Amino acid sequence: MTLTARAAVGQAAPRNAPRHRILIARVWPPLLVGVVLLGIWQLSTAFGLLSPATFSAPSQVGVRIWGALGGAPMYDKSIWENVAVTAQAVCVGYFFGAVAGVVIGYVLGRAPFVAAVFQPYIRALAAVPKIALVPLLVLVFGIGVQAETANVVLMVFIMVVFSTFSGVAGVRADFVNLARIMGARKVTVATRIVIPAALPAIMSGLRAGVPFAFIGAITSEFIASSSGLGWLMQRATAQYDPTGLFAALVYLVVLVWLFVQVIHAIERRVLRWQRR
Amino acid sequence: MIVSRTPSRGRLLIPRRQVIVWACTFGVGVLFLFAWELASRAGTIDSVFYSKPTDIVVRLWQDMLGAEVYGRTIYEQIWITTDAVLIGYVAGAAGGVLVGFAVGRSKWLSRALEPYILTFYAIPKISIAPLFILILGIGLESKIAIVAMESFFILFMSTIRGVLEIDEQLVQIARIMGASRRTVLGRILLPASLPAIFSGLQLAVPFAVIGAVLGEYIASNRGLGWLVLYSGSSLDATGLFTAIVILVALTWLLAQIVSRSVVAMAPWLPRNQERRNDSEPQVGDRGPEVVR
Repeated sequence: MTLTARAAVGQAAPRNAPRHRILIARVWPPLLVGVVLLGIWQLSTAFGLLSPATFSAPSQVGVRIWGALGGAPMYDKSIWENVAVTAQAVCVGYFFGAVAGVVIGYVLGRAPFVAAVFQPYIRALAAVPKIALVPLLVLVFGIGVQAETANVVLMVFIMVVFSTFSGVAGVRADFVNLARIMGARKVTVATRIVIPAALPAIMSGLRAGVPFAFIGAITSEFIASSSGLGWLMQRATAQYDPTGLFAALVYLVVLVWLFVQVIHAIERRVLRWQRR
Repeated sequence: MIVSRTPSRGRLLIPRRQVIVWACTFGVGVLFLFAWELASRAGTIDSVFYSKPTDIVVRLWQDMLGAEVYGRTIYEQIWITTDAVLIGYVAGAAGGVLVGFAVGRSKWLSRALEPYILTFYAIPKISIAPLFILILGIGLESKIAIVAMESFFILFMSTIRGVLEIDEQLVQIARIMGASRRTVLGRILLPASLPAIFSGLQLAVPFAVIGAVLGEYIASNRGLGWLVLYSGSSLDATGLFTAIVILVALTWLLAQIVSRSVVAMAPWLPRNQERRNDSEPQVGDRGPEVVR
């Protein structure tokens, strides 16, 4: 459900307008806002309102982004090396964290006694500001990609296990009982009843895990790494290089956007029967 | 005897099953701590990296008595972090509510800003943190800015959601009855969006703390977040765990203060029993089912 769908009582263009008209009508307000903001930024730096040394300028950032695309190194590493490190940590960590989260969440959800016993600990774990655990994992795993992946796994796991647990525990007992009365085996009950019923909650947890995966990866790179987009941003900050910082940020945003699209595509495929 | 099979009227009775559950929960906890302690003493896990529960308790006790760790008492560190959190939270929340209101009520602005809001929601806002460090330098200002940014965004999203859910009929009826724009704003719009705003206020607390901690990770030499990091890099696992415990307690305390203030200010609002403390509000996200 988009903000605009809720906010707009009527469409910007009449519903039977040609499709390209509707597209233009939807696209131009954000585009205008973007252009205006970039323009203000550029002009401010040109006229000295904002110091280019601290804030950089869209033109400079654009040049740096373009250069990096072609492979120009930033701090002795090409941007693609850094992107690869961060992307790999996020993908691998997300996968393992999600799998572990779903499996354990399922087991806990289906065994009400075990769930009741462990519930306070799960809640406590969810209450810990997860960023505080990053140095702990760095201490345990050392500096580098291993700690980063471990951080991602932990972050994603916590998010996913909580949602999966709620989803599975919240499946109506009537459904399960009905299936069993009709003679379903345990496996059938699990795969045909419980999992589909819990899927929205599970997907919600998977979706929520995405930002935390990146938070874990980037934070870990900030404090203990020698490569990756987070490391690059930290380096740029230390060298008072706002251009590099913004450029790295843009690459990060694109990476996150790609990842989010993938998760959304999976979600749409899996939850096809739900009206959105 | 308070344990009974079925509750009967008049006295406080706890069903037997619940007691068994509590006993098991307690037992699991004790077992875990025991195993941790033993493994650490026996050398199965290296106590340099994992510490032991007794060490942590002792260190907590010493800290509370005012022992200086790395040159400052724990109370100084707590205050440094809390200071940044409080100022940033108030500033960011106020800004978020104001801007959220303006954007929520303006259809054009909502349409225009939507892609940016959604993108901003998806990226880890902590990646913007180095930018603040660059602009504002190492010091309290940059931490306040990071906290303010986190709080702003959360309150912004919550306020927009609250404003969008206001029933237009209420506004129209008020206008028909001749209410001025100010009356509509103060008597209809504000009270109707309060539940969402209050929910946002509560949600923002842990994120505000996270913002301050992150700011301290990357550019500080004081504060609880710095303490966590420095203990880790000094291979002081006990200090690390101690700092984490205190951080959790601080977050809990601040969250309690906020939620009790909210309840005190608006006792007629329904109280959220279960709320996910970890995820930021997403438009259309109804949150998880209540955990049994």
